[in-house]
Amino acid sequence: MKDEEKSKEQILKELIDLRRTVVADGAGDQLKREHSTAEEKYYNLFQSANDAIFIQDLNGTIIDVNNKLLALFGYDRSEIMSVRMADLVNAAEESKYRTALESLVKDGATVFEILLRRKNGESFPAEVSASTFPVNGEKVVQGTVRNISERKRAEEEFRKYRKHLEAFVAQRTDQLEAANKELESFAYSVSHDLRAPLRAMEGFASALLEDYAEKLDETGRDYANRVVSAAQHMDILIQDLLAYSRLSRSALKPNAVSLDSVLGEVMHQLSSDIQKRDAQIRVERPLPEVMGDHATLVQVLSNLLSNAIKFVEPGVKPKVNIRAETLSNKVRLWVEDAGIGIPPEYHARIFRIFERLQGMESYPGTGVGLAIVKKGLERMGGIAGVDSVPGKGSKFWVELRAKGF
Amino acid sequence: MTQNNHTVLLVEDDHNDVLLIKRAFQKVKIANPIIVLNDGEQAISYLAGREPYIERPLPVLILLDLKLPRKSGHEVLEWLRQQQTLKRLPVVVLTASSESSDINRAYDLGANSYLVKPVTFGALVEMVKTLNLYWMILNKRAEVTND
Ligand SMILES: Nc1ncnc2c1ncn2[C@@H]1O[C@H](COP(=O)(O)OP(=O)(O)OP(=O)(O)O)[C@@H](O)[C@H]1O
Ligand SMILES: [Mg+2]
Repeated sequence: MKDEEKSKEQILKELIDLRRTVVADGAGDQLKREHSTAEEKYYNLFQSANDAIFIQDLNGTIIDVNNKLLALFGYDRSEIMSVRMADLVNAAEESKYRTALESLVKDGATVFEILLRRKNGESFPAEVSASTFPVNGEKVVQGTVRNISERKRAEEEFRKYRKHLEAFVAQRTDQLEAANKELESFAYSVSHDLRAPLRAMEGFASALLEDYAEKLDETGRDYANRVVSAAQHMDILIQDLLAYSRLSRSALKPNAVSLDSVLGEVMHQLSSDIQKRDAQIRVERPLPEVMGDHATLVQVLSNLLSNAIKFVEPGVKPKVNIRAETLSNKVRLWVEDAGIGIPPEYHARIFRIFERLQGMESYPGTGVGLAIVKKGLERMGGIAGVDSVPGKGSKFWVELRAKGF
Repeated sequence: MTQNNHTVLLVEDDHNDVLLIKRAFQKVKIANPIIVLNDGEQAISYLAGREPYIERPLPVLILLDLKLPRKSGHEVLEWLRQQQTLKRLPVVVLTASSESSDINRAYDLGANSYLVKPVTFGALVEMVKTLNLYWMILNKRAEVTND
């Protein structure tokens, strides 16, 4: 490799010497005959190269160019020797050209983009890569010129496209934000306006039962009672729906959360239920820390635990086991019960909103609980699932990133 | 101006809620008179003692809904807390909204308490009972004069 380079430099040197003589004598055509074979080989390479190549001295005088370069600029070989390098540069970019020359002298090599000028005055963008060679104690420059009009056009297209895309994304973001606002005000009016008539239904049906009980017969009182309990059920439904929609629109920033403290809060929340049902809850402490959102995790776990103590055969005391499993950078929390279990064909379905498998009389509920579990995990970048055999109990699990991952 | 009076000001636009709240007061046997105003502008006129409320008694407690016609409960609260001594009146927000933005805003503007209207009448009675015990019986009142 080194030898080859040396000979290349050597050949270049001789070539330049020859050129100078030729330019001085004005006897271009005799030149070829005087070439040695090695020189000829190099000269052919120079001429047949795919790139436009020039050789100049540091004053900007052209020493030699190949045919590709002549074609690129639209000059004849006879014309080019009276042209100076600076003439090939678009007038507006002369200072850029001078700066490039300076850094070339300093560093020995440079690559730069510049607007060049054809003989007919037309400009085109080019990439010039040049390096200096010492020849007979003085530096000469050899460089290639690449027409980058196509690339520039592509870049321009790309820029335009990106701008268009940015504008498009910005517009979509605005639209989404507006939709989100709308959803928020919808949720607001749901909580505010839809509950007002409910209060009236419940309140006046209760008033009927209290103040006019003697004037109603058994059936009349039954009807009024049904109005009361339907209104109460709808209120729970609205509250659950609100909790679900709030979860969908609030932005969550996961941070390290202790599952022990989450579970503590959940047990406190459900304490009266747990007592009423005489449920046995075993927790394999200590539970690890996970990346999540505390309030959302409380909601999630509270739904899983309340299901675990709710869905048992009548008269059976609920038994729940809670444990965590750390798998490299993930934590899987299990809530295992010994309840009625779930047929496998429903395992995916129960996570959808309003999906229930039992009648309201045997197991009350709205069917929002597991939808909150699923949505909550989605928002925290985790997943949820269930293993269950009917009659043998269910094992619900949620999986989140471990603390620090 | 009447100091040391017992009037409760209820700012509420929903007639059913007005009726139910009044009924709950009866149930708990609260003797305090209730004055009902149906929008935020009326509430401000009343408190400021403007026509037609020049002779109005100042309330011992304001029960304020948030979503009201003309001026919202938040606006009424904001106005009230800028008045010279009227600003000392205790305000209990009583509304249907449990949105945290509403709750935070109400406290930022100087609400003394925030209650969400319960759906069941039984729960409303319990709430009014506690309200009476705390704000009308236990709570020490500040001096309030017309500004
Ligand atoms: N631990 C469990 N054992 C057996 N079945 C379950 C269990 N958890 C959930 N399910 C089934 O999945 C359905 C959906 O559960 P989800 O928690 O979403 O609703 P819900 O408990 O009925 O009502 P809500 O939680 O809204 O009060 C339940 O109705 C029940 O059929
Ligand atoms: Mg549930």
